[in-house]
Amino acid sequence: MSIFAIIIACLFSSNIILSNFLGICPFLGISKKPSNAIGMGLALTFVVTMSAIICFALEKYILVPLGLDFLQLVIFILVIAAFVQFVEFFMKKYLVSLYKALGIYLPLITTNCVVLFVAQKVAAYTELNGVITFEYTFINMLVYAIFTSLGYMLVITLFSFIRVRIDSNKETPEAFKGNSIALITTSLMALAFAAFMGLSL
Amino acid sequence: MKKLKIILNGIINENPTFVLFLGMCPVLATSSSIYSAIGMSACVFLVLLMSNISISLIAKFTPSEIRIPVYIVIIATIVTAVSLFVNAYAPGIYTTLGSYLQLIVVNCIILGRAESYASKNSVVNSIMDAIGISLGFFFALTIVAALREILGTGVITMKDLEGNVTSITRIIPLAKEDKVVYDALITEFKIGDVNSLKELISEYSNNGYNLSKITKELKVITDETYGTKEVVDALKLAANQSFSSPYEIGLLAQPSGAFLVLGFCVAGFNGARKAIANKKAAKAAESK
Amino acid sequence: MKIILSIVALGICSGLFIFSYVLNQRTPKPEGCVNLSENCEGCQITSCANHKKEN
Repeated sequence: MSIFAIIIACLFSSNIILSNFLGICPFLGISKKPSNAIGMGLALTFVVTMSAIICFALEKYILVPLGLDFLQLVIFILVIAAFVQFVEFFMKKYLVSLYKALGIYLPLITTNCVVLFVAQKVAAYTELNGVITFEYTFINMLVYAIFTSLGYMLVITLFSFIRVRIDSNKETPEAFKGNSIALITTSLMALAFAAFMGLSL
Repeated sequence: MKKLKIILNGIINENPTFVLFLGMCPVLATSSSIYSAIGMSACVFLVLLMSNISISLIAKFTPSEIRIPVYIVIIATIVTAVSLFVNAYAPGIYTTLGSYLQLIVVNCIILGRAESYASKNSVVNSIMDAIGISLGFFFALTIVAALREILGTGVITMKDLEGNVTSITRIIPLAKEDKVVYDALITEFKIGDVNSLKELISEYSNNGYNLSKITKELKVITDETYGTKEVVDALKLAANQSFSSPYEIGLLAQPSGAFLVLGFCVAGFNGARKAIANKKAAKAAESK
Repeated sequence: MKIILSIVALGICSGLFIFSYVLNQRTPKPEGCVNLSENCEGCQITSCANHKKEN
């Protein structure tokens, strides 16, 4: 697939929140202020990109040649979690200003569905007569990881602007307050983004 | 009786989807049909049961500094084992759930219940809690899936463990003209069986349209005679599986319909729960 | 052979994870950092370090 097609698909037509339903827990919990949303998106971009590179390299050069493919899930989770902890430790010691801006969201990303989904998707391969071909080349994988998390950041930022207005509205019925009206609003956003479904490149 | 209260607690007061908002990702993703809903909640039940038992057994022996890494390792191995098991014995469920089966490991339900309940209670209580929580999850997921499938597509498609379609039940009635052809087609060929329908169509288009042969094969149970073009159109429509009733709400079958149905279900459940709790409190205050 | 290899691989990864986790826990937060937990109250991810502890 061409790079432009991947970018458009990740950002709009198969957005990771509105079409793949991943990362909903932080989406409903963090998106109450726009500054939180942007910080969460940037931290997620960094973690997803680096995890995709590490997991791709792990799968291609260590797991598949040794025949340990059934351990993919456990090893990916442990490596991603170790990487996040190490990054947080590094930022606490040497990049304090960056830690003040983004470090709060890092523990939240360890158990985020987006990271594991992207890692598993780029590490997918098909085996034909003993020849193993990976579905993503290095550049494709990089573009896919970056723009998936940018799509996440786009949706969560847009939603935080809307949510500020919803939460200050006093006329929602009592049963709908909180997450319920947020979910209904998300469905309207998903309808709007579904207009990109016919875009095929 | 106290054990039963724990189960009921997991269904009503601490329902993981409607009250605690844990693990929304699989609920939205697998609620497109009742078959995948049942499959997903069965897998979550297996994982939750095994993880609750093992974590409540070892919670006393782990130093409190490293409990989260230990829990994550245990849950990851359990999910790997369950996904291999499901891939072997129920390949239909495995292909329907796709990659959401392996995403149970980062599901907030398992880790959340492990940390907030299983590490502090006995083994038997943890088993009851696991049963209660997964029953609540099953209940919530099935309600959303039923609403989405029945109101969105009008049929309930049931498949067996291999992924073959076993029964198609139409709940929302079709328009009258479509109903006759639909009944005839479904008694002869299950509509999920696309390959045999396509073979039939290619066979008829190769031999020219032979009306008597078509009607004999279909065993159309009506007195009206159909023109050849209409029968072939009906066959083609059924092959594309696009018999749709004018009373369906097509929006619910799309991704945005998942958010919509879940939002309304959450509101309804919480409203009913609070109303009942208020009534009980009012009655208790009155009888004092 | 595969069993030994998989146990070694799991051991290495778990050891790495536990090592970096303990290292992270032992480093104190730098002063002047913003406590953000009041904005995440709707979130139920209990493994997050900022999750408020129930007493």
